[in-house]
Amino acid sequence: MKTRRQFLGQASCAAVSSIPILSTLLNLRLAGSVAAVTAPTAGQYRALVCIFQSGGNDSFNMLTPYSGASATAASAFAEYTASRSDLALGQAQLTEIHPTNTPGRTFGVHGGMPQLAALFESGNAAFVANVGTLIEPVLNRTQVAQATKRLPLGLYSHSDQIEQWQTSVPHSRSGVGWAGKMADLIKSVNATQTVSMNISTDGSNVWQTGVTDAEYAVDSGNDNDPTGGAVALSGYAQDYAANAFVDATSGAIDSQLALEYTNLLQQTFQKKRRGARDAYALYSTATAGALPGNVVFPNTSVGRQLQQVAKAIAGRTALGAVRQTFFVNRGGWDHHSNTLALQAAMLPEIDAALGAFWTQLGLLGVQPNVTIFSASDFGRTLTSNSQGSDHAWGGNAYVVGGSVLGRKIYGSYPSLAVNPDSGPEVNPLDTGRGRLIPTTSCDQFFAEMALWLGVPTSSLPLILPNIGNFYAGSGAPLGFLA
Amino acid sequence: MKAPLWTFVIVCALAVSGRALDLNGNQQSDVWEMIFGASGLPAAGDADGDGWSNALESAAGTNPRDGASFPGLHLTTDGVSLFAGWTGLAGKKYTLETKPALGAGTWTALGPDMLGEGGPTELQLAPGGAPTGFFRLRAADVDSDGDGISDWEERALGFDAARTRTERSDTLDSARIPAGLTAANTITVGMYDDTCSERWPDPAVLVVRRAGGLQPLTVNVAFSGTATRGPDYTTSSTGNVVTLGPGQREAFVEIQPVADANDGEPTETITLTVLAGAGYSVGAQNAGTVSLFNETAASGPSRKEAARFLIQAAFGPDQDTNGNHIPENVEELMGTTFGAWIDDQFARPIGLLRPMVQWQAAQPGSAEIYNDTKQNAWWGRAMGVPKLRPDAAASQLPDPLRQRVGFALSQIYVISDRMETLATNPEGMAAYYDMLLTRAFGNFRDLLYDVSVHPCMGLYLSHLGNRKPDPVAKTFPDENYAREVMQLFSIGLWMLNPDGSRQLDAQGQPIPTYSNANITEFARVFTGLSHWDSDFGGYSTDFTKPMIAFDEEHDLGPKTLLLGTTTPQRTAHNLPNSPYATLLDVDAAIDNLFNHPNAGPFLARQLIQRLITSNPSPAYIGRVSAKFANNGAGVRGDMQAVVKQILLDPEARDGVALTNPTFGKLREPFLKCVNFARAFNAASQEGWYYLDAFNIDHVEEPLKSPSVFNFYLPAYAPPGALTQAGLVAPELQIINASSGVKAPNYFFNAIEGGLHRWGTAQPERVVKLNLTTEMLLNAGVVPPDEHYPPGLPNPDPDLLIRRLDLALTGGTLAPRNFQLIREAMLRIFPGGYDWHIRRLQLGIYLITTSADFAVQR
Repeated sequence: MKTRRQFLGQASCAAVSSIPILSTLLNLRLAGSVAAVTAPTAGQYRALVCIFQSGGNDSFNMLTPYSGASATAASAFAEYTASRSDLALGQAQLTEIHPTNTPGRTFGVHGGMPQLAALFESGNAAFVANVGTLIEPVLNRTQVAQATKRLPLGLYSHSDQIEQWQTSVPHSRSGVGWAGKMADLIKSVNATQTVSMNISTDGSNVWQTGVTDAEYAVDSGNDNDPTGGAVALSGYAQDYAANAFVDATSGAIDSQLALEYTNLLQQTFQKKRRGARDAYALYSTATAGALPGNVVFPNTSVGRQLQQVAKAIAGRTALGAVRQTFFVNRGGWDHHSNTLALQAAMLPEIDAALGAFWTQLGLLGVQPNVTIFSASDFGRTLTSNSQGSDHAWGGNAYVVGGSVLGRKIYGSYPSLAVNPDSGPEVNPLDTGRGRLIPTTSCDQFFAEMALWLGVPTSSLPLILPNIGNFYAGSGAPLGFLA
Repeated sequence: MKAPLWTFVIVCALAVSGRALDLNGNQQSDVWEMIFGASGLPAAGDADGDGWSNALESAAGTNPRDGASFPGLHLTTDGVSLFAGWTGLAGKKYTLETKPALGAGTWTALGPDMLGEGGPTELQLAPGGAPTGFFRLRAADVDSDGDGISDWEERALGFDAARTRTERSDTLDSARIPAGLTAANTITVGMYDDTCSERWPDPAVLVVRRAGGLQPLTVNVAFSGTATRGPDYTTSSTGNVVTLGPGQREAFVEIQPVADANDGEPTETITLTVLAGAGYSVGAQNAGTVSLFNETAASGPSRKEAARFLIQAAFGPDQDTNGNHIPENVEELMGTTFGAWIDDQFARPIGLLRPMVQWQAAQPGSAEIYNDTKQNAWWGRAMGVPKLRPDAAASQLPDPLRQRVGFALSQIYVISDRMETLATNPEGMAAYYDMLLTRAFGNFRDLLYDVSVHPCMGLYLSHLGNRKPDPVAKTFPDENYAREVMQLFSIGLWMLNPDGSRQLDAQGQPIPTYSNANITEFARVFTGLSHWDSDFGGYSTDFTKPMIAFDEEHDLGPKTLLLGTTTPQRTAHNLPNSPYATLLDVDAAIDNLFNHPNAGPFLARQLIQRLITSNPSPAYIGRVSAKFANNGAGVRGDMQAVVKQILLDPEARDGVALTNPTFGKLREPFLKCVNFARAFNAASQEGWYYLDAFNIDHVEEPLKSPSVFNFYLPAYAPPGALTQAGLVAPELQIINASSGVKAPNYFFNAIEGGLHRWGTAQPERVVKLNLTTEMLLNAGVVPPDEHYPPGLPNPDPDLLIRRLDLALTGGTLAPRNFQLIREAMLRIFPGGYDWHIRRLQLGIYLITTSADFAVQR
């Protein structure tokens, strides 16, 4: 075989080994393996869409018990009502759903999310219950109190938990996200890298930051001008325009962007702007066409963002993409106060956007090719602070897609009993105030999607370093994707 | 492992391939001939006797007169495989060919053509091939843009090999290059930076400029003037010549000042004069003179040094109005010292925002609900308008240092009008901001206390109306503020050394500053606070007065604070003069945090990052935190001492930072707008600043962070070189493919139209740049409208760009950037009727898009 000796893998290996942040044994392993990994065969198009609800969605009000018994109470709903006190929703504020894998129990979806409930009932959506950041399984509060298990850094802290949901590296602080690492590994299946495999509608984010490359950020517009998309540089034309001003401007911009700087900040700034220029030309053409079907996306932050995602998916062939990830972010979920009213206003926003997006995916014929999942900093305390709820740990997430084996709750929906201040323990998962230890790790949740996107099982530890503590490598990590 | 039983013989023959420019038909590239002075060589000859014919060297782009210059082909092995290697030149392509025996038979290509990359290339030879082989390397030209000039030729001349029109010139490369091979050259002298100073290492820059041809040239020059080369200054060029490479239009001669002990010298001059020589004629502008300022240890800063300081400590240089092209605030600073300037700033009256917000609220019909009145007020203070509100009786001096530090504090002690309750109460938020401004030069303990009891913070982080635990209702105190006051406002997550590095335990692990148990204790402290004018947790419209204590809602029990401190069981306020238990606990908690060893280094790093550099050394942090611990008079938490140390620290002031590849910070994207407005004294007819909505393009504006974590994180590191060097660049977190285009577009539009994102229907409120002087320098006249009178001159833009350079980048514009801006501007004349407007717009725009403007060093 005649191959270039200095092939890509070795090049990235050299780059990785000089990165202090990755100088752990673990990541040396990663570096070695990256060089050896072969990209998955392209096959059909697949995309992951992350809807991040930053701030910490109170997801035990998004997915609640409805009927049947929990492990600790004859009426799981009564138990929910008691623990949540003034934060408890009534059954009238919930849509009952009927999972096929929770015999004897039904559950409630927040009444503000009727489309998600309908997608669940029709088998196109599922929930992952009590999922959160873990290094290794933690079985009970004693293990937390006595620190006999390694615990994620900065539990209950926004900045740490947001980061860890995006890195799946809860044992150290890292700025490299698991989608970024996936791109490092599999992006070569895409025909061109001019527009990154990882596209964000909310600017820079950790999830899509890889070792050498970051996301491609597109604008999602604003209330007054919801169009969004790739933004053209004023005064700049790709080709000779026979216009003195445009040609002088464009020529100078290109010359300026070609300048090399020794200062690393200037160097990085130049690189970012060069990338933006190069990607714009491709992205704007690829996403120029109208979406089929006149689907009306809500003019909300998440509605506009999902519309951009739909445009990028529609333009996937022109973008040379057979694998993509999308980062959508809606902030404002840190409901220490006024929780019920705020959730009642904000969850419908997610739901309406999700509904429009799902319809659009159908019209694009790609429902089986796209998997949408929710993520948030953490769940919140089951107990109230009399106005709202505080930071906690495990929470519930939804997954939507044509490849989702729906109408099921994956993982284990926990008992919502809260331990009394004194007396016997009733819920070993409650570390206090209804901060629940996750019973499913983020690693399991993400591994399912990474495998679906084409990461080989043997490469999972490169992306999710602790996955070996939760998954033996055979079968499906959770089983929610076909 | 069995070694392969192959033998290899290499025949380093080269086959010529066409597509290079060969107007004289001698099978050798005309450009190659020019570069190597090789015209007239026979194609089959071998001028340097290295076995490579002149024609083959032309095809390979190597020197026909240098016996060591040819594309060597060699074999190497790593013990397992064999590799064929050579050095490929960019713009050439290479094919490795083989045949089993010399003589008869055809050469077979091994693999596809490979493009040269300007460095060593290797091909792994297939194991299992013929056991013996002869190899040769064929070099050939590539013509990516198909214009008949090869890529190698275009690159060698500095042209764009991928475009038929380099720099989108009106003339095709295929016409420019042949003409340039023989065109006559005229040499002139220009100046990109006409001053340097003995105690500041930034050089003056003279330019030897060529018009006409593309030939390599050696230009004879002489240095004269009152300064002496060597003792007074050194030059980047050697001897008395300046060389221009093939295609090079400008050569920069940097004049590096040498400091001496003679404090009595006058300002000296250095003149570069172009002398006659071979291959060029000398134009009318044959000399340039720069000034070398004498500086003593006691003298004020030079103009570039002063401008740099104002970018760090204030909102950058403002506009020159007295005609010497030195911004007025730079001149003011040159007349004093940094220390005296800071002291004067400390003493100036506080530029409060609230009066302006109140004035606007009182104006009939002017209080548009969508207008961010507190930001309008913010702009007035940043621009230094003399009156806090238009109808104020008294004027006051601008206080840019306080405003800049206050803005930095607002990014640590974050409240945001992304919370609607706050957005609809601009006066309350202005009051909060005024509190930050007031405490910016006070004591940190008061700052932390006032932040903690301000109702805007109480609403934002939800401890307003926070109740004691209720065992019956099963409710617990809100933990939000308890967490953030520690994590973000005072001590951070990890125990720190005084130099900001993390303390490590016996296992080498960092030590957390607090546990969740501590948070629940602090949550109990922050119970019992609510609005001053309503029931506990009740409604109020006055967010300007501190929260007050409601002891009946406060957890009176003992609490464990940090580092072993405890608070006793409290007694609720019960007599007119008895203290409030709530406030006693808050006091104790604030004291606990204020006296925590982390407080100094934690604040020091963040303030340095906001003002000076993203990656301060531990020693720098250590010096600042030492001032925090003790201002020299035994006082802890003296913000004036902290600010002064940050700005006067050697790491901030030493000019060696100019060439340090890791020093500096990305200018905050929003502050770029403010720098831009100041550099052109932007103003409206009404005199105030109806400006807001900067976050749309710049992802940043005062009091509008997306969360309590500010617009960017202190530890953000973008992928690539910075991360690999272990460095951070917080502001780069909000530069991406979207904002990285929208921000330049903002400047593009703002230069001519005004600084508003949405515009305004009221012309008297449009904030516009004042470009009168700049237009005069740009066009020679200031036309009354967008029509330029015909027949007027086309002034050289150098002086204008120098003026813009000092005002916008503090004189740090890279010479190459200066050149491309100048050349782009010159292309506009004599375009359309409004060419003068377009040309000025282009000049300013290209500085705002530059990495020199983006990064303060």
